[in-house]
Amino acid sequence: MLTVKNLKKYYSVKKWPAEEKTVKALDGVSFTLQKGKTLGVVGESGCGKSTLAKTLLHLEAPTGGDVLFGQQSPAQMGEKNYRQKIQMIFQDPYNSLNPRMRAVDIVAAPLAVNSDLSKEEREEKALQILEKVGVSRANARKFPHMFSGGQRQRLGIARALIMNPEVVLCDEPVSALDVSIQAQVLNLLMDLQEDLGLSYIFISHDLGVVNHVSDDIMVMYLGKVVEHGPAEEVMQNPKHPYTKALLASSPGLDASNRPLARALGELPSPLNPPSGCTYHKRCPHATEQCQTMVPELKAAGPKGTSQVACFYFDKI
Amino acid sequence: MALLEVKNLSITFQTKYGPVEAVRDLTFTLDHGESLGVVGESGCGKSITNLAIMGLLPKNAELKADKLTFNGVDLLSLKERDYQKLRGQQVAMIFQDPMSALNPCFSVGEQIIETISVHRQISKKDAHAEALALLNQVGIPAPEERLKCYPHELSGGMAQRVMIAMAISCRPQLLIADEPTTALDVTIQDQILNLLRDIQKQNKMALMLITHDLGVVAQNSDKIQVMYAGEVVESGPTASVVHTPAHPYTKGLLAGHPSHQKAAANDNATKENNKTGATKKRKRLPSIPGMVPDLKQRPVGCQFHPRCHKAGPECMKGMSLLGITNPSHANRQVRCAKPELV
Repeated sequence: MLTVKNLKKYYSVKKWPAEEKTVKALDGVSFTLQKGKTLGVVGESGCGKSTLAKTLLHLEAPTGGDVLFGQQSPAQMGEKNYRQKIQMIFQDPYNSLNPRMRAVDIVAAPLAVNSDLSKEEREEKALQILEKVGVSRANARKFPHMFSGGQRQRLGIARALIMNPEVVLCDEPVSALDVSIQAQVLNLLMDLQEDLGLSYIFISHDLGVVNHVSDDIMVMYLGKVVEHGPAEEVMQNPKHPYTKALLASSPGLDASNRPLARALGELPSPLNPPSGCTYHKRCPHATEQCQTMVPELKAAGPKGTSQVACFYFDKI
Repeated sequence: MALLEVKNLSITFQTKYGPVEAVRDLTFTLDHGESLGVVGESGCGKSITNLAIMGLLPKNAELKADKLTFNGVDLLSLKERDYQKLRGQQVAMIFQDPMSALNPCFSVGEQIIETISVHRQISKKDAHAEALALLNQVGIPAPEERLKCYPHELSGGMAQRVMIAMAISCRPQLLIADEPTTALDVTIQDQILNLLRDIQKQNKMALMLITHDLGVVAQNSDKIQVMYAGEVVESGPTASVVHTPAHPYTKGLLAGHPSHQKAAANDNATKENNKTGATKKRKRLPSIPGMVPDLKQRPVGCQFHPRCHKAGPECMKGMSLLGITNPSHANRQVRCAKPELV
């Protein structure tokens, strides 16, 4: 339903007296998202996941590549139409809500811009959707600071859903919440997905959370996709050394250690990416080939349903 | 003699709403070289406890305890001048956001050297050499250049390593790490936690690791203390508590923790659905209903009972931290009228 082909977003950075440099925030990302499914996007700082979100929302124009909704590009559909179909839930429930607006007004605001409904009708729709996400009518006239973090995130969810989107971008929606509230909000997101047939692009650094909600998982590193496949396969049978490192580093409740899979050194700066395979400096298996050549995504896994960008994934 | 002994500690804030008890009935000990993980959510009192131990509570906070000693020294009656000798030298602390904790106006080298110079009679040249050795110990490459760097020139992981270097510069007996890796990426978090473990072993240092992340605590502490609304609700050896929690809150936290290792459960559900051709229905996470209580309006009796599915009339009475009498679960304590070891 949503098809992304070779999406690129480059930024040019000019810091005197150095020469102009190009940051390849997104360097050829491709995926398809089916209706009712969730794509989990995992990666650390500088991998491009926030840029991916901004580019998909058309808050930034892509430098290259195509985004297709159904068969149409955003230009063919019209900006307004496109924006209605794809909405976002932000990470920080404290900074993403206007503190001077009441909850019901925050949620009704998109309708004010995009529809011809009267004030009463907009308010009624907002109240209905607030109830759906678990915020009662009695609370709807409160200001954001009167709500807890988890409740504020529910307001953000309601605001994203009021335009009846088909795709919702969830940018770390539970990272800023207390652990016991995370489960509540994740459950709500899953209920809404089943109820409304939504597709999610779920961006997170927390592998446990991503694994729980995703059908497919895409692992990003410095603007490129290094591994992509069904969630169970990526989590239980990771093929790319970086995916293995992420899994080994994520503290699970079992005190099991996988020392060989650990990533070495620091995250490289996107301004100065390593040559060849961008992961080679941190990879315990890197060879000379990895320093000079860039691996392409190749099919992998038992049914060829996964893709990995590594020269040696089947040998390590 | 235990390194740190805390008995019946309470911290009360005088606010415009009246007195608010942030922490109460806090009792625990920490031995030399031991690591204690303190887990809890917003408002549970884990961070303010650290400040109490370090003597850094704000003026409107009232600290009361039957006992608060470090290495036999009574901290309750310790004068500020003596406290300053304790801080940095015998007890050190590292904070969540290294970028905010480091002084942006001074180079990293100057800040480490300052810490060393305050506590030891040492020449500038020797302090410089010590700082270099410390940066090496914490795994910072090219330490000579790094000493001249300013905090903003470092990545989050590097800055946290610098903080750790500063904290261990005087070989403290206790290091309090308050959410040391929350602001860091996962692969860097892993490196930092490993580093802390190595230093702990090398320096025979006790570690108090405060975090909301159960996974971090499960892998990096000998014993664990779960806090809720200013009280310890469960404590004991980490493996035992994580494997067989007794308190409903601990159970709720553990059950609601989506781990990548629980994929197996989801998998079976998926395979079943695929066989029947039904649309995949993902399992919901068991969640704890409700929210942490407002400390200005505490519940009566057990602080967790409004959210507890097992709550009964006995839960409205005062609750103390009691030992579990099950012999196969040694050193376990839980604050619950109906604890259940499953």
